Amino acid sequence: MRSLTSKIIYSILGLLLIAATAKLFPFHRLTTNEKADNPLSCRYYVTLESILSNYTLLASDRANVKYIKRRLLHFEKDLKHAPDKAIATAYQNNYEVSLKKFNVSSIKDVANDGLILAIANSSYKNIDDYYLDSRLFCINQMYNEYGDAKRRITHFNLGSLYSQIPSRYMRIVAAYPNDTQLGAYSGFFVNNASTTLETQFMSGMPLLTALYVMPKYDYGILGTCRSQVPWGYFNANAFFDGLTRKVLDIAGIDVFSVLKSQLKSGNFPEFVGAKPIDTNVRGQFGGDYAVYLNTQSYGMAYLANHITYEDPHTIRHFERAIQKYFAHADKHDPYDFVAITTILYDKLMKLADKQDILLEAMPPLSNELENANTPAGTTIIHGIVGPRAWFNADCLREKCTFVLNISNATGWHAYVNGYKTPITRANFAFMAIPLPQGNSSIWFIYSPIGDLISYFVSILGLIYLVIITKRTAGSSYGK
Amino acid sequence: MKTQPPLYLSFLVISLIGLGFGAWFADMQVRAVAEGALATYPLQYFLITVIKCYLTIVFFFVSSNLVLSIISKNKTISSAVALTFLPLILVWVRVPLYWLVGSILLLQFLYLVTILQKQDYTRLINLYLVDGVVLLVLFVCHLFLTTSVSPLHWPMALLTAQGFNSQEIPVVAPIFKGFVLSKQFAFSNIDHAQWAAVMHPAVTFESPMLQFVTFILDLPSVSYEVFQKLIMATYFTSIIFGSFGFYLFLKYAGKIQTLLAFFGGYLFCFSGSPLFVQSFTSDGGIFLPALAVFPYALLFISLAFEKNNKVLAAWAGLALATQFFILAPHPEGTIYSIFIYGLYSLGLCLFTRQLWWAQGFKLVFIAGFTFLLLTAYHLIPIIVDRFNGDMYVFAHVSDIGANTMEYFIPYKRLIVIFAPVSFMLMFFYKKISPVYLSSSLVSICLLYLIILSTHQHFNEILINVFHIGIHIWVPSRIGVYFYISTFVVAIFGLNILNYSLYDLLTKYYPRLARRGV
Repeated sequence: MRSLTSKIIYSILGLLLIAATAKLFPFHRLTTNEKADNPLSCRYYVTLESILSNYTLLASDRANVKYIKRRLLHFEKDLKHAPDKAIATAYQNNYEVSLKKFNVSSIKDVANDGLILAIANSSYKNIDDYYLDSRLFCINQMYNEYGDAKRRITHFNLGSLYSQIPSRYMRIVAAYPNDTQLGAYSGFFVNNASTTLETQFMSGMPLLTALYVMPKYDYGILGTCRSQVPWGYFNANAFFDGLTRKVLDIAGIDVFSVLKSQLKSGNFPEFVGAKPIDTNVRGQFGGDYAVYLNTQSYGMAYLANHITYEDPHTIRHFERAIQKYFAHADKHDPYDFVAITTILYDKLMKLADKQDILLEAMPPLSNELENANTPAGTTIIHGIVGPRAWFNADCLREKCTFVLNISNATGWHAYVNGYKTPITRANFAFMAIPLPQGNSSIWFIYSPIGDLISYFVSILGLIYLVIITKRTAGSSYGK
Repeated sequence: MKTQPPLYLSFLVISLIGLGFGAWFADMQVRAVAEGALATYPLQYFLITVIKCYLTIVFFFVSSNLVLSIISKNKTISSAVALTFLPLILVWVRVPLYWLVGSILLLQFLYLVTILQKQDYTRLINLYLVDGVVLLVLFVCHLFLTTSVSPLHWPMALLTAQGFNSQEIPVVAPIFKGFVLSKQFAFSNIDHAQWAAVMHPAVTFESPMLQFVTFILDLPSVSYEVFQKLIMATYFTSIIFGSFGFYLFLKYAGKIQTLLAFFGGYLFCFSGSPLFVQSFTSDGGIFLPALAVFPYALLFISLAFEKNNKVLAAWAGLALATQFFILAPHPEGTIYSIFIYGLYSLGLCLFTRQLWWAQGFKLVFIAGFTFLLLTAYHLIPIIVDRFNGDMYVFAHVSDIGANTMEYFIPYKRLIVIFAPVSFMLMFFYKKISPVYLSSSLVSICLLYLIILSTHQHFNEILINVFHIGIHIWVPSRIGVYFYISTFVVAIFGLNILNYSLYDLLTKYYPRLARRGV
């Protein structure tokens, strides 16, 4: 009887508990009454033009060509079933004209990858116009009504901003003061192949961050998300400021884009050492962007013009001080940080000519060969994919220094003509290696020993765990 | 008696296949940089890639061997399983990988059909049918009810979702890089445009699983739509995965009735007010993986204690480590899940009477060691970069203050109802399972921490009068685990109620009981 009473008590308590739980844990908005916040059931649209601006990816990945073909097939199908035949006919005629140039009647019959891309390139404008202007994808409603949707749709469609830049290996800074303008925050580095961002989030490399990420910034309020990440830091002003521009030139910022409206409102003069590039961003995504090619940029990879040697011990000392400051900004005086960076900026500002560098190494007895007044030579970027980069350099002097404008992290290995070559730090942040005269094949491979060991530890651990499970469980599986 | 072919035969077969596949992959990886690159590429890196591929194939082989053995009750022959991987050799003649992986799965299925007998089917139905049906029902429920991530709304849900559900670009960018690079045979998210970032940021959002899926399915890397759908698929799968894990935990560790366990599993992702949902979806799902795998870690460690089984303890470590394979999580999410998991394990050590405490700690140690072993690939590079001075890391503590408002969560009401019930269960119910006692321990500890960090006056009283208070700042995101642990106890209460009603019925209406009411 006693047990029954206790069970009744527990039952009541259990009921109370469940009632409380139900009250406290309401069903929340993983479900929604408004059909996923999209009452109009709008679909978004990514322009074919924007997709086609990723030309390197299109050429190297067959699945991408198939995707483009699918887009063209959908277009043909949508034209056939268009609600407004009068509008569709005009687009149909334009499309047929494009196809006739290649002697085909439908994309269905085309199997050749090159031909598919050629047809897409000749007809993308017509196709994008059809979808956007006839509002089959009700982008305008979404664009106007939902802030987040606006940002994302814009971001997806801004590939075309950089469709005219000359090389995939150019580094871009999108310098917009309003961080919601693009979906890509100001200061982020975007390239046209992967629309990637520089995610300087809660971590960084001491000297590189101190000098290059937000030039002249003292990081005094380090510890808050917004102050550390360079969102909103860059704008058109940055490219008129002497020091900032110099730093960005050295870092190899080849392309920058700014807001036209900001240029007009600031009464800025023309940019020095920059050429405007055509942009084809559609009206729906804003026409306020101006893109410039930075002719003063050192570039992604180059042969150094003149070399100034810096004592590595002194720089190491500065680096440690900055590292401590970053680790505990609240306990250090920003003045010390500013004092150090000012010294280093002074050294960078003394680099007179394009592609002059500071090298952290003990100076040789004579570096006349490296600092001759003849051109150093040329470099070719064959390809950079993830942690692997391949170059060719033609050194015209007796000795050259090849610089790769990627952060000098531990774990990079350089090979010149098959031989491992030590990497020295250039311009306080980037990688440099010596080159002999003549043509050299250069590989840079990022493969830190920690990565390798940790991979093997994890995969062998997994294999061992599975094997041991099979052995110990034996015939009792599934019970 | 049937004789098994020697084990080295299967090893030989899978080694040949693995090395053949590895050579193809390494070749394609270098070609992706530029045509003609292979002639000058350093040989040692080519070989490293081959070995990595080989080990990955070996892992898939031993895993499928294990799964097939479980299903067939040890009737499989290792070399036959190894032979099912033969289609992988066809990559050399440019057959798409999805066909090859599909062929491997088909071959394994056909092999299984040939070795299974009638009694095996009966056994499988008895063992797995109910759980299979529950998984299916969970899928259907989430498909129609969890509209924010349901495939029915993929074309628009992500882009139109407001606020916490928004996919912020900086968080998602590293996965997008991984998505693009995996199609160029680089399983990395290092990008030359990312010159100013550290190589192994502590807070990143890489996803080996997404890269793997992209690679196998040969998805078009220029398509943002495909990328977005892939992320949504990961969210959706994780929610089902988490729900099913919670169901399994309640049913097999908590010994809850199947129907109640199903409700528990389904409610798992709705059980926690905005905080819980935020953790599932905020910042591009960066807190999602730690939560989705958490029930599995609890399940395996509870079963390990129940059966004093070291292998199950190791599986608890594996479950906890899986978060790094799905979507490398925010360190905050990982730290909380480890902390709460540790607290729960401590509870099991204290409350599992049939185990001596040293045996319990051994199980906890095995789980922890396995976790470290399996997360080494993610954690060691970060630690190395941190200590060799390449990288500095800081926490943006100031921003967490913004979440303080979310503490209005219901501790005032919960403390009235929940705490006495927990204590009563502990003191009066003699055979209470260590699972619930440990869950209660987690709840009480978290409640204590939350009260300390939010209730200034209460804290002052504790410090000045009882000398037991501490000045502590508890981030609000940890509140999610308070919900989970409380929810476990709530389901336990419901189970008691259910059994009590049944007892009442059997006492006063024995006829109904006989009819199976």
